[in-house]
Amino acid sequence: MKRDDDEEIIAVARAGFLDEAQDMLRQFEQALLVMETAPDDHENLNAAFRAAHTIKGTAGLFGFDAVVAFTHDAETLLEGLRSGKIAVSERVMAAMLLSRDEIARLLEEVGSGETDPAAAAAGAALAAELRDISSGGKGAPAAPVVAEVPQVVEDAVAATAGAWQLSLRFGGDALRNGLDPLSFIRYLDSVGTVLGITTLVDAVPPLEKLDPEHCHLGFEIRLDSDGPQSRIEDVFEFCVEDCDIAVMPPNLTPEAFDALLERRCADDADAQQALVRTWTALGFVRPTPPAPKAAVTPDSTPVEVNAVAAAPAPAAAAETAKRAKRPGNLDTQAGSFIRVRADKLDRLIDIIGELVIASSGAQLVAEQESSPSFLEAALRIAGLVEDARDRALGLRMVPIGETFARFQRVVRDVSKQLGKEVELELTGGDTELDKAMVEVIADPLMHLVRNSLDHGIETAEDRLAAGKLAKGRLALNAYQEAGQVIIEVSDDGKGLKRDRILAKAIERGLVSPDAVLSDAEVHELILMPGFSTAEQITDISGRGVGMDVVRRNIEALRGQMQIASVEGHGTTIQIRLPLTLAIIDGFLTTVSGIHCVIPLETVVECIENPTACNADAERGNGFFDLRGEVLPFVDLRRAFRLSGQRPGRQSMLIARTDRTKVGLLVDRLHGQHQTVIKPLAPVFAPLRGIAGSTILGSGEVALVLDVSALVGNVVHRHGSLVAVAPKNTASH
Amino acid sequence: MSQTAPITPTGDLTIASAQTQHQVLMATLDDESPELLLDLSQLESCDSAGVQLLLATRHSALARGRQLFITDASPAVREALKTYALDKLLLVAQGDAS
Repeated sequence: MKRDDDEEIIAVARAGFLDEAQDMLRQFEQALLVMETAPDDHENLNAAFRAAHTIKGTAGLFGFDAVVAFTHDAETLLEGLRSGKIAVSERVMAAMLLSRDEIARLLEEVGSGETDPAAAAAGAALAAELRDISSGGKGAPAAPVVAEVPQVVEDAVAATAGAWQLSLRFGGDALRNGLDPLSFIRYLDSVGTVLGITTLVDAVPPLEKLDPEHCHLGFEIRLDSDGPQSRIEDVFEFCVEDCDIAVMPPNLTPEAFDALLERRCADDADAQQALVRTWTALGFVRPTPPAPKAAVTPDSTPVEVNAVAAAPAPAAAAETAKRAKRPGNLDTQAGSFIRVRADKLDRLIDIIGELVIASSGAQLVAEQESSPSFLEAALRIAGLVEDARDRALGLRMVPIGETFARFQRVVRDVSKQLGKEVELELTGGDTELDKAMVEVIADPLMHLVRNSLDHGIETAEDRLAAGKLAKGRLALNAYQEAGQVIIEVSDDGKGLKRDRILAKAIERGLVSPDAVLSDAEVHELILMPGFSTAEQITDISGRGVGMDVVRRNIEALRGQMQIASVEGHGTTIQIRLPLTLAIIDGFLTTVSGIHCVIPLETVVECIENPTACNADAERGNGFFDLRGEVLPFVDLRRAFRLSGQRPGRQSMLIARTDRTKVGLLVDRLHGQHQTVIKPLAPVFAPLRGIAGSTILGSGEVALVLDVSALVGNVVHRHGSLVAVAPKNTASH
Repeated sequence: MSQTAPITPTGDLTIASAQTQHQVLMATLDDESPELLLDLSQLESCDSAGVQLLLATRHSALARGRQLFITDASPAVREALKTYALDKLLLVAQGDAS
């Protein structure tokens, strides 16, 4: 292999490492934050430890020594916490969170290849702090010294009855590949205490037949550990492929016991006997179900002890048995995931988008040919294409929870900085969103969260004075509704002050002093460019980036923002986003020969053109009566100033906007149509009311309408309708 | 008690030197004396390959009706054997040997 190739492979692997490390860091951070509130959550501590350990392990493979060295110190401290030698305290939390940042910084250096001496010094100081805390507990952290190894039965039995049973068979090439079993067994001390070990002496051939570089070693081990299984298995992470490793939780069921025996010895009765003898010597005995409740004297034989200890844990054992059938496969989760480059996925979705168009085209042809069998085939293809589209888009969907989780740290840090007590509530984290959107939405969300913390939630004294709980509440919620993803940021703070906003808006000339505005309209003023009500610009928010930028970001995603606020009680900001950016289900209509697509999720119903509208035809918009409900309508022909003969019969399509329902007067309805949205050229960017364009199966261009913007264009803020164009008759 | 001088391997007893040490140990098998004496005090390091060699030597010795005695061992060897809980099997007998 050429050197270039090697370098390329290493570069790719390195990118993979950095990517994975970011995931691990997130898990690490998450676990730390949980630790702060639940210091005794053992599983959580383990999660933090695992994450740090994985980063260290992979960094070691690549020789990123700085990462390894630092992570090791963090890991040592975690180990101290885990074993209870060190208690979680303010100092510990601060150091751990900082160490997360330091690891992130070191990883960044790995990525960029640059080093900053000043930052390195800070990192070294932090490492020293970590070590200081680690050694500050009772006694030094567990040094990797091999424990007194009892070979005889009594010691093993005297120890906890529920010990882990490890059965290791190292592969023939293990030694040649530098995987020394000694190191793995010594490393076991990091997860527990080796209570007993039996080296399978008989497996080693006599000297004259021995290939000294071939590994014949196998071990049976009794390990006292708090688990979990994955952590013990992680010890052998690097030799899984070459070796047969079985990690059995305490209190094996007879089935699991037999399965392991068969895995080791197949049908060889002598070998089975020998192994059972070895296990018995280590204190592992096949339990006889149901476990008899026999009284056990302290001097009892291991047989009895284990029979009692084997209180059946069916679920765990069943899993173990399953595991035993897949030797060498230790990885429980990674096996079900595969990393795919985002651009490959995009290309796939692109092609499927074209396929959707082609399929629509085939359907059109089938209709024109009026061939029932062709039409049937085309419909079947359309159905499959639709399915393929949904699945392909599903591949891009990621739960928003990961983004939400990032805010825990932000809320913690910012509220500390501001001296406020804030509890963050996350719900709907499993709501899925297009990955591209998740990335874009993170910044606006961050802004909203900081805003809430800074301006929304009051200090504890103010809150108590206002009769609220001292601890403020900030909630992030996500859910799906009507083909949209809705994300809400809400707080129970002081809410928006209507008078002050209005005064400011008048002062800035954003509204005229005599305007009469509803609450919602006043609230929306804070989304206007150059609007900021904060008396002073603080560190947290209000650094020039206003809410208008947030709104622009959201609108760039074809989303909308809404604000609901009750003064003194809190504010909720709702962001509505489309499920995906690429393809929408649309409703195809024509107006004066122009194809218009209206997003299907906004379509409520279609009716015949009400007579009231005909009377109003020349006006272009107005109100009509829908079963007693008064709704505004827009004549698209007028709105777009299209000429042409009005057909004898028109249709009204009722669409839902974020605030109301609205009727759209069109010439013809064509029905449902899948649409791949292509953005409009920049030249058309200022056009409000048109979201994009699409190519129909026939090759014609259709415009995708943005109903909210279109209506916003037409509906005056007082709720009445006025003309869009300077004069309705302009084009006539 | 046999007065055969113990064999004293030197250097490393590791995967790197496994082939060489294999030859050294093979040479000990030709001896007719009932005891196979090994002095491991001069070994600087010992890994799993080394432990495996010692086990194989013991195996061969037993097959010939001889007994392997390790008269002395360096700390590195002791630690490796101890980790594998083989110290009793291979080292304890040394009291009888000398």
